[in-house]
Amino acid sequence: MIPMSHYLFLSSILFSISLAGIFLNRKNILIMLMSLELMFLSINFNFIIFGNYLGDLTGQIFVFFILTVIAAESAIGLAIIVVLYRNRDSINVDDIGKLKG
Amino acid sequence: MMYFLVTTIIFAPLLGSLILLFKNDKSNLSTAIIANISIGISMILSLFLLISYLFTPTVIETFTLFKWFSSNKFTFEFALLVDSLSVVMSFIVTFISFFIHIYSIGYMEKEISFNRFFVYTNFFTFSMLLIVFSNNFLQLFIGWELVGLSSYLLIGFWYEKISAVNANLKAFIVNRIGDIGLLLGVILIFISTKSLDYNNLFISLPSLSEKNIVILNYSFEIIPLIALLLFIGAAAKSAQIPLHFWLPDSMEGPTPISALIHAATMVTAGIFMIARLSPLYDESEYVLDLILIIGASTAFFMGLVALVQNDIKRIIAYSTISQLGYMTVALGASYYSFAIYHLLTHAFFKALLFLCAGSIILKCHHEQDIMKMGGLRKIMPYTFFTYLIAGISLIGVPFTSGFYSKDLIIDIFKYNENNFIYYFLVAGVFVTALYTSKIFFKVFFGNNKLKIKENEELEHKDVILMPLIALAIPSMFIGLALFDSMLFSNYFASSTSDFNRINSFYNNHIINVFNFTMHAFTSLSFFALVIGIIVSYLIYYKETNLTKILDNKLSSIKKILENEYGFISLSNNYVPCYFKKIANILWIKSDINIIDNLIVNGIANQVKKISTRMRLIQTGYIYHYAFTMIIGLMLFLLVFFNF
Amino acid sequence: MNAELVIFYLFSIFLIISSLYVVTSNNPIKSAIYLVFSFFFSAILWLLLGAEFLSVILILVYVGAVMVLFLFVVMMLDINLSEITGRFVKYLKEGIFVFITMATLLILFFQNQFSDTDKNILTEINIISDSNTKNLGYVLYTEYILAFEVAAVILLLGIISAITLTHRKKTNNKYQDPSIQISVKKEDRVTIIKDEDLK
Repeated sequence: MIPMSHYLFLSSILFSISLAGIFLNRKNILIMLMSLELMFLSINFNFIIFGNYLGDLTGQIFVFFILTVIAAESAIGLAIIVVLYRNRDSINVDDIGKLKG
Repeated sequence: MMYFLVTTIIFAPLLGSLILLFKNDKSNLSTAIIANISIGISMILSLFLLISYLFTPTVIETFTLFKWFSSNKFTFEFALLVDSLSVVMSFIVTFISFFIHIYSIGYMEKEISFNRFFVYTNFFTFSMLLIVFSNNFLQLFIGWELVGLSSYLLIGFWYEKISAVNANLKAFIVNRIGDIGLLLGVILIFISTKSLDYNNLFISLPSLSEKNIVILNYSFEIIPLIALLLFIGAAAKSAQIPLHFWLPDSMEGPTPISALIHAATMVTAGIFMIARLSPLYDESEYVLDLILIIGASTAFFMGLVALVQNDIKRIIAYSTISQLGYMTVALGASYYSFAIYHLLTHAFFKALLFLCAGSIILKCHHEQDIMKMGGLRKIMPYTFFTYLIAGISLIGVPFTSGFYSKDLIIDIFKYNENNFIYYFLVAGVFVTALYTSKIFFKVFFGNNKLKIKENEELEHKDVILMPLIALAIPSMFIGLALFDSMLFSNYFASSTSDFNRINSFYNNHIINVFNFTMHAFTSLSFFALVIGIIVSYLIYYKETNLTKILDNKLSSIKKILENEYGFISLSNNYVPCYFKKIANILWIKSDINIIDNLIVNGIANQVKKISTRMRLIQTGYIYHYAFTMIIGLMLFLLVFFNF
Repeated sequence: MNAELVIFYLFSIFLIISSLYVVTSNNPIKSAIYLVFSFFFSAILWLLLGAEFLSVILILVYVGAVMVLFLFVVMMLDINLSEITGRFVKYLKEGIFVFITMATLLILFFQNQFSDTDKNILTEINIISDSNTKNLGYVLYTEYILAFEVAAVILLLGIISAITLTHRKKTNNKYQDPSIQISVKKEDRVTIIKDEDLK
């Protein structure tokens, strides 16, 4: 039997790695989106772990819906990046700071 | 039946005013007809009321017209109080107003704003009747303000003249200053008796007589305080020192207005109010003494100022102030009925004086300086004759009405051992004789300096002459006619509180009217009168060396009098400049600098500065935003951690 | 030391390593490939937790569709690789700081709450049958039917927005825009060259 805290340990590490990934990647916004996918993966992990622990199938159902939303969101995010690249000719994060104050 | 009578008396002038305000045709004839009919109705009904009250003087009736508003603690009803005092006042107001309306048809016939004049005068009559018939302080105050408004509108009738505009502003502002006193007095009455009726005040007077009120850590007795504050309001309206200086300047208005408002009716509103509140004033000794001093000084000193004036209307204006001083002195001695009686006779002869002055001014092509006039006796016989009647009544020659009222007042002080005020008043008689005959001699005798042509026909139209004659008859005879019936047969018994005093005065000193008249020939006032006429004859008619000698010796006194004891410069220069400086400071320093720049603009500037710094937080970089979120999340975790 | 533990530790280490590679790669295509690896390993781990259906779905949907989409976009955008390499060390400090802080907090939290020995993982959740798929289907279409429909609408939304954002209009397409039609002025349509009445 593997205690739950081990699984949660894994999930936290994954989450922190993806978080660091957002800060490390200033050059390429696509890498930022990929680390976002990693973050979603760690969250799904968490849901399944807790679903298993509580004996409820709700955790897995929720992962189902999160997957749906992630798919839609990735599509839209990538479409936005494509349009951004069309207008700005660069995917450097520093170049898309036009909404600054 | 009396309900309809009184309501018609009050509201007929208002109706006339409204009809004139909204009528469309521009003919002078229709304006004249409507205005005069409305006042005529009021006059006839008032005459009828007066006659009926002469027979049954102790009837008091109160009619409630309608309820204006009512709240938990206070109800204001529009109500009319009809008793002997209000009836005699309404008679005075409507009678004189009627004849002045007729006179104005002729005097103002060449004016463009003929219609506007009658709108204002009808409105004025209505407001005066509102004061006279009111039974509570709120209605009195409303009428008071409306009368002040009408006076403002009428003094500045020729509003294109700067002097007229200044004069009417001055009149209104001084009226307002008095109204502060009046309003404070009314507020104190409301605080102490919880209602604004006269009746409730009189009933609760015994219980209030020893009470004090604490204002700003000073304790005042409440009844003298109320009496003093109300007197301040009356002093502003009735032109007593020190709030008198608006009246000479108010001669900028047309002459009928000076006759109506500033001789006969509006300026008597203050006297009327104090007489109406006689039980209140009987309780406050100190205030009565103050009223006495103010009245006596006004009577004498203003008469002196009239001596050095050359404008005919200003002389008569100062004469009005002086005669109001006589009435105030009578009030101060607690002989309220005598003051009202003098008010009655004074209204007639003063209005007549003003109307004669108006006729003279018309004839001399709007010249008002008497030094430039002369020799008008043969040219204007009617004016000459009526002026003579009015003049001798003003001076107080025995058998005229002015004599009966004025000498009664002087005799109060003769028999009450108040010698100082008695000599003041007698000196006032001397001065009155002096300036009245000055006008008489200068205008009607001497050389015809203005070269006025003598016409074969009547000197003026009928509409101007008829009121002169109509007012001359009461000026001559009303004093004698109403002496017994009004003063000494309980006429004012139910309205003023001096009944006992007057009866004892009558029994001790007057005995009957014939005795009184004969006794007056031996009094000091008659002596002063005769000397005054003789001196004036010598100075102004014969123009002997006496004139030049007096001019030289008394030139310094003449300067003081011409400056009106400094009141002119005080009211025109010092006080306004002082207030203007304060207003400037408040405007520039406080309003512009503090409120606009510091507070309003300052807040906007601060917001701008802060927001300029705050918006730099939005850098536009995603990782900065993510960093902020992470920091928040970490803090959240830390807070909810149990180690 | 049973098979479960071995598989768990092995694949979790693989998962962590590949995710590290995702984050620190120079080449975006390499990052994408490593991300695919992460999904594979985490699918296996999900099998250990008894979510069989979901692990397969992870591979099919996530790797098969979303990552393919990612790779399409990576290859479509004409990225100059030489710009991206280098200058990585500058931000390393921030990254490590964030990583250490977050990981510490979370681990401490989880350790504190969930490390008792009776908080263990069950391996079976049975509602109507042994099969996880059947169970999921049973629960999904009865209790969560509304959420299911909403998820379908969300996918529709995704489609519509992605197409609308990137749609380029063809220039020989003749269509009318009502707002432009209404705001037309006379000068836009008629040019008067010569009018004999207006002299």
